[in-house]
Amino acid sequence: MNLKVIFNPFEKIAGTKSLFFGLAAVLVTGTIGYFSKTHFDGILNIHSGMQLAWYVHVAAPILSVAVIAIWFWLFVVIFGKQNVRVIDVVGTQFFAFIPLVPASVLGFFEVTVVVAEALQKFGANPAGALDIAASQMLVFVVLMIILMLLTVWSAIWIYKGYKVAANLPNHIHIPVYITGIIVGMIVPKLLIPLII
Amino acid sequence: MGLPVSCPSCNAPLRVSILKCESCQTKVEGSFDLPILAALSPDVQAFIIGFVKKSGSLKKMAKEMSLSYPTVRNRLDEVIELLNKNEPSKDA
Repeated sequence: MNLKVIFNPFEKIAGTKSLFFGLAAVLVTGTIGYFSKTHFDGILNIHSGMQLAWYVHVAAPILSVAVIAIWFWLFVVIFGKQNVRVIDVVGTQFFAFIPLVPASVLGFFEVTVVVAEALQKFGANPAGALDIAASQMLVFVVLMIILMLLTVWSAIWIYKGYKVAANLPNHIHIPVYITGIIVGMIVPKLLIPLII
Repeated sequence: MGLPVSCPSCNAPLRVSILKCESCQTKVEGSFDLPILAALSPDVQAFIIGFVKKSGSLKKMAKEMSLSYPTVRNRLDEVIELLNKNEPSKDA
């Protein structure tokens, strides 16, 4: 496997196959997230300490990916070529979720809860001391760095998948991607309460 | 040896200046355009030949090239753009 495939697998995979692997990844992530209390409630959004019904843990990332795929497809319909297939746009976006699978174990690390609570207390009373052991802080920072890298990796795949599948004119590629990420972060948060 | 399509010195497109009959040795001199397909790079020519051989099936092309369908479709779009760009104007 060369470096190019790690950052852009969509030269090799798209369509139904990518949709299948992407959905499987969402299913695995949602199920692990249910046990670890890790919730994916928007594109590139990960929260721990949220115990919801199993189907919500699975449906939330599906909804998030569907929102961004619909956003990209809208622009394909307006500006794209007629030979673009919807299955490629949807499939690549689901596949781009795969780098986030390891992030579903985040909630299993007790330190995330401890540090989050300590930071909340500190936020409410900045005069007080931050009650976190150095070792806990170190583990927390390492976890956050790993999480950030996984998120960036997924963001790259979202872009590459969309670029290959949608084949939009160059001048609208970046604006559609950026607005898509923003829409994919906000809209699922409004829709998820409707399915809980 | 493949047909050179661009100048090795300045990279400008080449034109045909002499055609020769191997049977009677007659030579025709002038300044002729290369056929539109001959003017394309060997990679693009191979892609077009492959596409025609696969009866124009992008799915079959993708499978043979071990590439995804949209990647092959995008490559075809680039070839179409290239052909449109290189096509001599109908007014000429």
